[in-house]
Amino acid sequence: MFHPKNLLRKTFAATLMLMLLGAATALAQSREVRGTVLDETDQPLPGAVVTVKGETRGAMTDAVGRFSISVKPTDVLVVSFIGYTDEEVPVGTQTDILIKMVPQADQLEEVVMVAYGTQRKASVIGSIATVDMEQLKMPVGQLSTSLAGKLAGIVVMQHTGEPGAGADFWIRGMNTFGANSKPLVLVDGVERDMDLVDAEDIASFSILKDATATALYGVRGANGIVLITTKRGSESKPHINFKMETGIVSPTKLPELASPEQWIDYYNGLYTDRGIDAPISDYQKARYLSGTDPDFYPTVDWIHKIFKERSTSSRMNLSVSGGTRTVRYFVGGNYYNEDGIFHTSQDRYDAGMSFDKFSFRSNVDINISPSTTLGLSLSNQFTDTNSPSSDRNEIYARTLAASPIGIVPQYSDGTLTVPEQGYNPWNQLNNMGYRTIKNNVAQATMSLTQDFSEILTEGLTANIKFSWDAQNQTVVYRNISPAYSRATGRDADGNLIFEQISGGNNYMTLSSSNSGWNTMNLEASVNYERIFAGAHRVGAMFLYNMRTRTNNVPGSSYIAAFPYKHMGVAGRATYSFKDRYFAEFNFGYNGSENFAPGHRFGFFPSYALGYMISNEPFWDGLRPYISTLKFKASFGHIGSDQISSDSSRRFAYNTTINTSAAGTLFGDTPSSKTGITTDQYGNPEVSWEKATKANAGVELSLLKDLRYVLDFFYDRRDGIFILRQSTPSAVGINVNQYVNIGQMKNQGFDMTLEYDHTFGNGLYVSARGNYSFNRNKILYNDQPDQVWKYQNTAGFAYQQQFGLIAEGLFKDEADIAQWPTQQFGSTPQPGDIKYRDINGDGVVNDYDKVAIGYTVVPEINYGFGVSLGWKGFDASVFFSGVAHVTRIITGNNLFGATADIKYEGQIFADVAENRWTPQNPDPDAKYPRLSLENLKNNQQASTFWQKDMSFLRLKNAELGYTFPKKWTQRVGLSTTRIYLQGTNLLTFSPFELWDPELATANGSAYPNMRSLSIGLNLNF
Amino acid sequence: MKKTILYIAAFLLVSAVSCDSYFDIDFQDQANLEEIFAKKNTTERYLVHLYSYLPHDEDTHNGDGYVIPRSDEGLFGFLGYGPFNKLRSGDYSTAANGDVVQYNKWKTYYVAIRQCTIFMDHVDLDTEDTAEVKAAMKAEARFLRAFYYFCLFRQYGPVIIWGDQLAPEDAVGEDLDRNTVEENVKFMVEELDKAYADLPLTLTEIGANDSWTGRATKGAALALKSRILTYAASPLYNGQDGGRLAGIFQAKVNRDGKQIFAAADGTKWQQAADAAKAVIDMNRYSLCTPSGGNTDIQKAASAYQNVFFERWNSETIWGWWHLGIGHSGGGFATWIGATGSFMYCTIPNFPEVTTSYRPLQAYTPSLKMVDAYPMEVSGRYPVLGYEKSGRMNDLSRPIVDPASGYNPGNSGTDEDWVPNYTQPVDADWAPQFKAHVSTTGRDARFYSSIVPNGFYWPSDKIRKRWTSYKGADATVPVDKLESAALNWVGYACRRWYKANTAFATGQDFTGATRYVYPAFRLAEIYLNYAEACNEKPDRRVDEAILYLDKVRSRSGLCGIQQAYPEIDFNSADGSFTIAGVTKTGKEWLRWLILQERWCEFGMEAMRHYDMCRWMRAEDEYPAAAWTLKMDSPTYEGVYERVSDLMPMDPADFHYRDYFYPVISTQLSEMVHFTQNPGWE
Repeated sequence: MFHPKNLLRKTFAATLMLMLLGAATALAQSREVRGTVLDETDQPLPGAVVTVKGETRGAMTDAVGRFSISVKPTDVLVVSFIGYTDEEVPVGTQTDILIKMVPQADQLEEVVMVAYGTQRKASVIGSIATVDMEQLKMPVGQLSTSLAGKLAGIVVMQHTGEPGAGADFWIRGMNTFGANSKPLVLVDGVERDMDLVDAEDIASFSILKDATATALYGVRGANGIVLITTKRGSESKPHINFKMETGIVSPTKLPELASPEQWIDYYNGLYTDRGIDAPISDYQKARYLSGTDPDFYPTVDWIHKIFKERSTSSRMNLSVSGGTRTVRYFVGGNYYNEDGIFHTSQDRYDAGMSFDKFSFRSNVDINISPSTTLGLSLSNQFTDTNSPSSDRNEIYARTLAASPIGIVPQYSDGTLTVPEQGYNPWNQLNNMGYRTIKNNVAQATMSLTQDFSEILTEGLTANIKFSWDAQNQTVVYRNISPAYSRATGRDADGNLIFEQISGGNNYMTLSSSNSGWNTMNLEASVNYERIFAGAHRVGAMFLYNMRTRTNNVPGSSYIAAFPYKHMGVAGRATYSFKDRYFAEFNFGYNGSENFAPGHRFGFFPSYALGYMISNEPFWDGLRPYISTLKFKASFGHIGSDQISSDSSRRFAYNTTINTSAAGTLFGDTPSSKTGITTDQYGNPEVSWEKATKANAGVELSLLKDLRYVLDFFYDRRDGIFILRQSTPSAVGINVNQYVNIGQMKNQGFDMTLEYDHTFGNGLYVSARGNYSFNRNKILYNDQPDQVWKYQNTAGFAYQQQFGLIAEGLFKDEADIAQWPTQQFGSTPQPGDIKYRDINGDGVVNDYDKVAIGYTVVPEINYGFGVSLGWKGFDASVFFSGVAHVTRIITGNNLFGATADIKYEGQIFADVAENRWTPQNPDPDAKYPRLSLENLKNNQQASTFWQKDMSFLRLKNAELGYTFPKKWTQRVGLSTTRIYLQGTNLLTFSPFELWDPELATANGSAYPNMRSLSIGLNLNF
Repeated sequence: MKKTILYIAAFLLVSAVSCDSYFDIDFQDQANLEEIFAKKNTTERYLVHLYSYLPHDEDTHNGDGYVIPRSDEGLFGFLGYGPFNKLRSGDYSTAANGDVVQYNKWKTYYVAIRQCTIFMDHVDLDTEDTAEVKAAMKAEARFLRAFYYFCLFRQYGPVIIWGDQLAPEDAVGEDLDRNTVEENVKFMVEELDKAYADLPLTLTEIGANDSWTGRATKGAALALKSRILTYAASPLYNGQDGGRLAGIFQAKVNRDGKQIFAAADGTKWQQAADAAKAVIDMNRYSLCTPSGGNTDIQKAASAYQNVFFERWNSETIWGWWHLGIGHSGGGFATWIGATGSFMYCTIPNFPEVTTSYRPLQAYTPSLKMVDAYPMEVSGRYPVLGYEKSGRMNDLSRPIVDPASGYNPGNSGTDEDWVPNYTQPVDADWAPQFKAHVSTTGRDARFYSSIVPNGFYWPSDKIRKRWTSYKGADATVPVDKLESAALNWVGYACRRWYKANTAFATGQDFTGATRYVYPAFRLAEIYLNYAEACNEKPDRRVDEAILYLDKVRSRSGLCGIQQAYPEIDFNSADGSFTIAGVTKTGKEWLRWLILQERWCEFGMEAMRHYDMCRWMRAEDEYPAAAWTLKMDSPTYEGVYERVSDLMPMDPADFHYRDYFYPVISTQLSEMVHFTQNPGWE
């Protein structure tokens, strides 16, 4: 018996030993035969695999479709190529064989990635969506960024445009209001970060959505799964793929702020509306607007002072793949660079944002015997991010806040300054130092696959895989606190006279922090796949896996130092009869360390049935029109074991003590004493969160060109981890206990429509579209009923927005008098927002806030696009969009600042132009009254500020030209393509203040980027 | 190959068997409750935690001191920070997401109560302390638990009493309701009696060195008992003075069918008197005495200032260190420690102050507070009340007691000004200046608490007048009304500012001296006793006057009978009229004791609870945001009272505001809970 701690280590050793086993078989006596493989249009077909039937010997065709192979006269050659039917040719006496391939009549033999393996596409009855990798190749830094709209059932939001930032995404929306609603991402079968994979390295990308597809992952699969496999080599001479692109990036939208003139009028109006003298006289206003004295009368366009119009990005990929009969390889290197749009002007250092990513991947497969394959995969990603030392969110916020006349960014002679109140964002960007983040990830996987077809029984294989990943990150801050001065006047020579505000220093102080993780993963599986009597196809898989993930830098946290462990077994059994009737059973049986003994392991079964009616004999007449019609349904249970999102709570059964609790000061002279108190109460009953998933779908192919897939789903989540809320607070529990009692449901549908057709004149058209709808609802969250039950959050979507219902602006005093009293700050005046008294109690207060609109996660996600190809030219456009998404916006740029307005009181240009004023007493004005006072009434969450954030984007557009092969082959190139590609080129949205996709309620965020690149792709 | 399969099969079998133990975590290094209480050091640290819930009445920003700007003694001028002003205008609801919900301390104190009980249930595990020390610590937790119940009692009225038991975790909210006032008071008093028995007289008795000063002693238990019984005897908790409100309050019945507020019982004042006398009879505490000063008024001021600035003085029965928690978040918490936060919020925004965080001057006394302090010579209170417009007090129309010697200075002539005035308390260094007559001739406490517009700021380190108006020659010009750093009222509060402290730089704030907040001090006990003696069925006017005069004389004032010779305080029926205000002798003495409490405990969070327990707030609080005319272009023009400058809603108060409502968070947990009067 292994001691658990040593289990991984010993297994690793065993794996290594196994790899030494196995022997090469001797080659039989033979002669050489040559041949050419052509496609249906008589063009040479490079990369086709030619094997001797019944043996593993084989060859691959070269760039002109030629091959040669050693054969015996009795051998039969099997030629295969993806998308074509295998051709079998007896060798006989031929010495130069011409083989013409026929394209596959249907997709039956296509293979789809599924959990822990692959399945023939025809057999798949779970809900799985795959995307053509070409669709994901976009001039962006992170893979997640390119997913929007590409797959049915996925929700993607690009929440910031900072270089190197990925996107947030969910599969079929949010299924839980518990700790973790994010999908599990598996790269080559191992849980890894999606954004560390370069799109060029990916062979397949699929998402698993329903219970059948995900059940094998047991306690980890409830939120759906992303499966990525990277490219591997095949038997061929070396193929070299080189790709280079460079382009410009520019913001999709920068907020528009009030001009100096608009702002001065607004500022003066705040005073004159109250009958007080304008603080900026006409003379001063003229001085400001003339721009003749920027030191004392500055006018600053802060947005454009801080942000540039454009920047650059570039990418380079080089990969080589190929191999021999015994060794196959794929080796690729990638480089990506993007510079940010911060306007920096510092000579000593670069405080601008930039992101550089270097990655490398090597996948090697070695046949150590005819039936034994050893795989070795190594990859490394290094990213280097540079940014200002100051908190960037603060820079964005200050940039929006800074008034256009408050302060000069820097005096004309270079002297640095800060305003009397508030901040100078120019200093925060340029003059306070910079920070670098260097992140390195190394991933390694060894695997051994043994085919037992010849040894035990046909169709039986076994695989053992071991991987170890390490990640480390270092953040280095270099900070400066410069001296600031303020000009008080000019001397006789016209030079500025300064008064120092604060002394500073010129040197940098350095601080740094580290973080890192290491992960070990072990997986062993047995696979069985066989057809009996030409009709009964059976498959089975049984798998064991375990994973240990350790925080290398746990700090002072005792709990964080424990490795995160998972372990489990999983199995699958499939059966199909003549590809008409399908049945599948999957299960995961696995455990989590988070729970008490006895509550750790769970069994998660799923069942699925499918019926391919189009394969029935009676369908024969219909088949030319309706080539495929398949119905499928699945049902099953999956789990989730995460208790809290920030890892602050693990081991739900453990009672903890807080030894650094609040204390107080005692003593004759103050002496600080720390307290000790009870912390989390352990709950031995807590176990995993359970998802029940049901899916029903139909797949349809018409006239071979048009394919349609529709899936309806229902997901019910029980036992969501929540902090107990219903214990009366008078009991005095200081830290609420975690319990498994939350309930939520999520339902909707997703569909995909694809059309591919090549016309007689060679015009190739491919169009695709997808549409997903998901709506969730909290069923139970242990919150006691609110005083007014319509304020209960249960019964609504997770993160449902609540607010008042605005009824326009108050017209006049009479209007206010006849309206219920609004209890938000001071008594309303004309031009203030009027709200509906929901409960009819005669006053409008917080009790009148009801569910309004949607959430910030869209319910509807869709994408559509078309690609055209003709004689070497290709063009494609792809749109993606979201709908049923709202955000309640807020902030001083809308409400007006109430303190230090002169320095930090900027407003949006739209507000300056379209607000209610005594001079423009329009009750339908777009924005309410602004005042020196803090008008709480106008700042309430309400339908007034709730904005529809739906949008439609031209996500990607590409124009390419592939040079004719007859030209390029002369210089040894198999294909040469140049292209022009753009992302986020156009955005259509009812919301206009800033990019609607950004995760900000007040506009202070780094804008999302539009990019335009030119690229060159060479294949040798 | 067969070996390989066997190996894999065996491996899978083995791993499946060892599954559960793979996840076992060894928590042996982690602390647990038994270990904590086994050691003296960690037991003490658990005890420390029980003190972390102290209400910090001195913290007007985040602590229970919010009642200061809520009452009529102060205004909070940082208008961007809304909650105070919403409380003040009565413009709030029971909604859990309302603006003032941060003052909902319901859960905080119940958490504190639970922690006290956990401590009491475990302290006997301590193997390193003697039984006597353990008993003392248990009594300390018992005292604190009673104190936290009292914090709930003064804010919410009578609450749920869990007794000596840990509140059950599976308590059903639907079954919970208030205990009666009687049960609340009985529990708190009995607990304090038990605590008194085991608490030490001094900390040295239990071997605690001077790093532990601030822990509860016998005195603390008795002082708290005095305050509780004084409140319990007062009309709000005791019969509501009969009439309409008594009907409303006494109609409240809990789920057990018990009347929550009982009819008046005069003997409660006897209990209050006895409790106060018990503290006095300990003979352990004495009023602060002067530590400097040349003139009588300087000596009196010194004695009064020592209440704050002499740490753990002879008058302090129990108190705590001010934590400097006035500002949390941002850069404030890190460098504005100690008294810094108060200084930051009170000192003028002089141009010399070059810290990057400019002073706010947000905490200001109200004009009513300014009017409250007595005259030095006559010993009489200058203002007896205000004319009203409807329910609103008009602070520009004070009812002045002509015999007090006070001149409100509203004639509009030179008579309103004293050209070469010397501020008596700072006379040693402060030059003469032109002062408004209403600011002259006041008592030592006035000059120790208030800095009127035009006075020298009490620091000879800067020697600078604080003049604030809308003119360039003002030392703090009122140049823009949007500024947070504006003293709207025209009077600054210097009560927390230790005279002669510099404040030019951030370091001056950081280095500012922390002070001990004298939460329970002897002056209160004297005035509790005086009040109870005046009210109890067999009145002891002589005792009342004796102890009232002790407090007055510390501040240099004459005896009350000397100040008000025309009133016979013994007379419970005869009526006496001053400036048109008529009261009986008993009522005048009550008014004078409350007025004395107001001045003595100015900005010490006492006023609000006094006005509530006497149910006077409905009458006293309603008023617009009266200020001096700070936007005047001249200094002389400033001394005019206006109500339209400060953009703040009028203060208002209705009977429902006597208790903070049980807010919707709690109501939804306890659907049958009896809400406070007026909040149903």
